[in-house]
Amino acid sequence: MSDSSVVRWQNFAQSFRRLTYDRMALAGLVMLAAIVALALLAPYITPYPNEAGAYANFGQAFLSPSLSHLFGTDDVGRDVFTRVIFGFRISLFIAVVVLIPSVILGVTLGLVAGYYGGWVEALVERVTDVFLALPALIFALVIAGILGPSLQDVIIALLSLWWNWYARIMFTLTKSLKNQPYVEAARVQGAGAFRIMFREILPNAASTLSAKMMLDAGFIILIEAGMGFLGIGVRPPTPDLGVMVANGSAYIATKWWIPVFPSIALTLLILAFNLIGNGIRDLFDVKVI
Amino acid sequence: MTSFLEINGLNLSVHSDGRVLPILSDVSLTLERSEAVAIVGETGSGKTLTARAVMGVLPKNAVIRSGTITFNGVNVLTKEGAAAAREHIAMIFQNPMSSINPLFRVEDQMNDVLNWSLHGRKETKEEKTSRIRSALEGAQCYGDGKILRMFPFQLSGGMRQRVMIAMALLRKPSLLIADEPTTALDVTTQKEILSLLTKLTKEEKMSLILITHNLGIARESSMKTYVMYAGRVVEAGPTAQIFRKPLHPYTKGLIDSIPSLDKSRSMEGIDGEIAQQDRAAVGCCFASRCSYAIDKCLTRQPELKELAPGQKVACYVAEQGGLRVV
Amino acid sequence: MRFAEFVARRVLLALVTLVGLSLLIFYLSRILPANPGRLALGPYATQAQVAAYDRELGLSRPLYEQYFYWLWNFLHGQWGLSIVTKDNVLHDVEIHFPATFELITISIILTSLIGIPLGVIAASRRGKILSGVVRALWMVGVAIPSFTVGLGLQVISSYWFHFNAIIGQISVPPPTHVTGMLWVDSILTGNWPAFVSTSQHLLLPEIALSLAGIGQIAQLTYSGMLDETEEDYYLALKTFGARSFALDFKYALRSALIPVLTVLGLLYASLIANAFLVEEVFSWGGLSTYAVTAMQSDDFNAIVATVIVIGVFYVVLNLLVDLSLGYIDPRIRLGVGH
Repeated sequence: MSDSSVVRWQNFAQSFRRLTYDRMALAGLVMLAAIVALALLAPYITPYPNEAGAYANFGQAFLSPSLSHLFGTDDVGRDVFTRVIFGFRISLFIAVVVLIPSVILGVTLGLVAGYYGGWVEALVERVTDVFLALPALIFALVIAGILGPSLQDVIIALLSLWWNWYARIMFTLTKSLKNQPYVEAARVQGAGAFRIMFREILPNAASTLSAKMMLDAGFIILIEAGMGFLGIGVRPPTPDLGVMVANGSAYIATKWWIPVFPSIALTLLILAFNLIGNGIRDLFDVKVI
Repeated sequence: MTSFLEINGLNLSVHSDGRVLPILSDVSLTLERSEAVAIVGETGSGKTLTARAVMGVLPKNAVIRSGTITFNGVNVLTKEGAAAAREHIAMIFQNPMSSINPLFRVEDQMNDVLNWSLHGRKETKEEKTSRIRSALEGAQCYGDGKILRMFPFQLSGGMRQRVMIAMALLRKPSLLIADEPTTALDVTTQKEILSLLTKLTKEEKMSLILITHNLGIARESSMKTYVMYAGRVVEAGPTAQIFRKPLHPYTKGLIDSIPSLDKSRSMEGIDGEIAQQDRAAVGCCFASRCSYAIDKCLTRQPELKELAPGQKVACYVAEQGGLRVV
Repeated sequence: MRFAEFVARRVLLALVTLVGLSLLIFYLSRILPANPGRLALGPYATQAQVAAYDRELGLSRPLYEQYFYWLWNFLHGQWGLSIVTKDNVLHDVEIHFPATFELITISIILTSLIGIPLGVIAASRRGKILSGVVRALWMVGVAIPSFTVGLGLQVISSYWFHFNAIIGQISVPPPTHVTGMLWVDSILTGNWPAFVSTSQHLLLPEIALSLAGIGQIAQLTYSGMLDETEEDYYLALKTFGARSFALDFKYALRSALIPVLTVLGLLYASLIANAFLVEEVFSWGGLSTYAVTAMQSDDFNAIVATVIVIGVFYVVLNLLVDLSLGYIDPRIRLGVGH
């Protein structure tokens, strides 16, 4: 945090509007809005919604991009455009399902540990040290490898890792914010610990947390795609972007559209989250690694 | 006959978020050789930017719209002029915790500062060592010489400010600009640094511009005082005279707010703070906080007029014969 | 001496983390699976073999005894057998680790050598266009998956440049074994053909692996240098007549490098994860290929072994980063807060 001024929830929401002044962040917001709209409306707007998952029509296989198949068709004759749009659904779904519980659990733990200090602090620090002693992709791969690869196990694997990041970051923020004058003032006025944590400290950490969440959404999608690519994540025939790139990579030399369009889709989605995350980081001048 | 340093009608704006904010309006100031001048004002009054304009080190988003600054007859608003002026002007900053790079030993930084002032002239290592030593001794922080091998972060705020002063001394400046040199320090250290600055300017025959929000400091260390408010000079004149008989309501408020025991407190006698719209106000920039304000104050900015010998004031109420509560 | 104390404290913390990691791995390998013996021996082992294995592990004994027994075995090199290679997984890891280590170490060196100067030059006044390049490289480099970069490079280089070293580590007889790292070994043994071939084979994987990092490091150096120019000391030294060159390269760079080094350390450690994806694309015979095969075939002991190696590597590396930061920043070394 660069300054010690107080932030309330409503100021935070208001300053968020300034994000649209940042051209790069605005581009990210527009891209993300478009992708979310496409993903939500996938069953209605895609030309061949029945071809998203388990489907084969070898007579239609390897068709190059045309008006009827914008992104061409894959090795078993499925429409790549349809699958890419459904792939956005999977990616966004995983990002949301991993992030929201991680943030709630991690932030609460970090707040409590940072606020009370003492042995709780030491415990949270050591436990998160251990969980973060492996790169995220490796950790997720191992858990998914042991549990067996499926959408559900990928989510469990990512969840069991990700709350640590938020516990860690919230813990550090709380430790520096709890000594601010306005927290002291609230305490003197008789505010309880719960009120101080959620009404005084949390709004002031919200800028850092929201930047981190946006960047993490991109990172989670990247890791999930990596797991799919390695074959230790979501399994075919689920329309997962990573799996689609992996399957298509065999044909990259001749049927380039099969791996290329999912790759571009993946990059654009991650880029959108990163642009927004960087915009928030610049807007509030916060440090996020 | 031009003065040693002359600022004439300086107007300066800052670009921020696509908007242009006027920061300094029509600021004029003169300084003679060996003279000590104080610029007094609260945070945001524009005193630091005035000093940085003189040094030619304005922030990137600041633009000088009009006005002139000459030092020793040289226009410092050109790149060459600024470089030439910097050879003879040294500046000391408010926060010694951030104005010295913490990662390099005192010796190392002093040595670099000395080398930059030599412009390629050769000096033996012994000569350099002795010059560094005498600068540190001048700033009363040489001690047993251990300070040379120390990192700035190992020094107290007062000691760092002395090192900063020693660096300035290395350049043998003829004008020293001290921007709130004691604000970040505790009260006893403040007194020491201040008397050191006074002593050095006298001994070395340096001119001094002392920027402060603390009127007590201005009274002790300056011959002339400029009071700034919202980017304008509102009152200027001999320090003793201004303290005896302030003519501007703002100056009066500042003086009244000094506690009798001369503790370093300030500004608390006036309610409110400088509002952004005051800078661009149609009327007097101080009108919104002034308890003497009359109708005229809200319609036109008053000009600086000499109302007592050597004492200039920008105030309609003062022009009409003095401060009466309306 | 405070530095010794600093080192001792950091080493102690790293040891605590490693003990925690061993507990986590023990949990994953013994408690999480319903039937560890079956998991370790694979589906083709007989019921009697599984029972014997379970006895050997001491699965009927209290948990803490099991843990110490496991740890004792582990510290004595008894890491169990792989169901794929039928060899001690420790031996497998020893064979596969050097290739990955070489890949990521060259990558981190390239990242530093390209990223830092790029950031510094972009930050100096001349680089208006360059700063845009750095920003774009950073934005896109982080967003584009490394396997996509790898696949793209393979296609482009083989189709347009007729460059054939797009798969594997070497296409001539390998050099005499010294370290197990082929490129290093070919230099050490003076084997010129092997050196040329390994260099060619390294080219594309290194680009795929380093692209994101180069962008990140260049951007971090760039913004760090710009931040330094806003600092009071920068202004002060400027008023003292400092030339921009000395200011930028001596004073600003040292301060700007502190966060850069932290991130380089984190990056080095996380490269081992990205190497998983890049090795898959380029059929690189490293640890990642071994681990992915193990995961795909439920080779449990092999999974645990790779996790341990990566964990130790990660923890030790973070320790080294902490210590070198203490060396560069005297504030950390001398135990003074910022």
